[in-house]
Amino acid sequence: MSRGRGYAIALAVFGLLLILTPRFILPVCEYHGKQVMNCSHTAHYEMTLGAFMIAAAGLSAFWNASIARWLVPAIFLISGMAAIVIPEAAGYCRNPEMPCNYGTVPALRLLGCALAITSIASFLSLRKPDSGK
Amino acid sequence: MRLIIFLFEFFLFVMPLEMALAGDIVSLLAKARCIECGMKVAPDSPFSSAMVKADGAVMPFCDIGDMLVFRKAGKVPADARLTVRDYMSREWIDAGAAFFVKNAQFHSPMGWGVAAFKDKHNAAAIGAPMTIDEAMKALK
Repeated sequence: MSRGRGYAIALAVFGLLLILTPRFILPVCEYHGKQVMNCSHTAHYEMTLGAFMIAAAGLSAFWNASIARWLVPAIFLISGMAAIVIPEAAGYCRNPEMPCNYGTVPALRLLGCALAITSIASFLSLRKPDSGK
Repeated sequence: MRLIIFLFEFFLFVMPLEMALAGDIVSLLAKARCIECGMKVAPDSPFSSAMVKADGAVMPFCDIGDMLVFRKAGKVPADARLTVRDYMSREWIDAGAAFFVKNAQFHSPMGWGVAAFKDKHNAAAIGAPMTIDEAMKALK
């Protein structure tokens, strides 16, 4: 498997995690029976971001190596930054006893950091020519 | 003469403005969302509170705790006033003059468990009464 395909799969997995985390793994307050509030919007934006990442992972099959070399790390980096910034921009519950505060948002920040680290790794890795093995 | 002018101004401008503000709070809360968390505000909840800006705009909160968080973040303009509801009578009172009590028995919408009281002895019967600044510091 080529490195490019490996990173495309990683991007899809991260996208899936961004969809599943605020809904099923560590759900926001709405899915704990509370009303719709800002953390619900955060969840929806993060799920949309996850869907875009999966779509980008699918599209990456059609990119040639020279485009993928800079586009894949850029997508990882932008997605990671967005995953961290979205809860701050859309809002979440400030009470530390609310599920989104102690669960969802820290998990999303962790995912964002993991995406940023993967961005650096992919940037360094994709610069080298692929052996094709 | 000055007294007549004052009374004229009072009945013509000040009183209708105060009445409009009180009416605004009640009607706005019925359809508004909390400006801190985005949750729908329950108009009859004793934990509902509001910020009334100098231009008369009413910004509602679903929970007193959310109002305190908003104030802690320095988002309350100097010329705005904060209003809360007396837990006993549901009367709108000035937050600066209210006594706040944090108690697990209060099931407020956002789980902060803070109620406001007009009278200190009513507050003391449930917990340790705090001023708005003390209540703000008491938040985690």
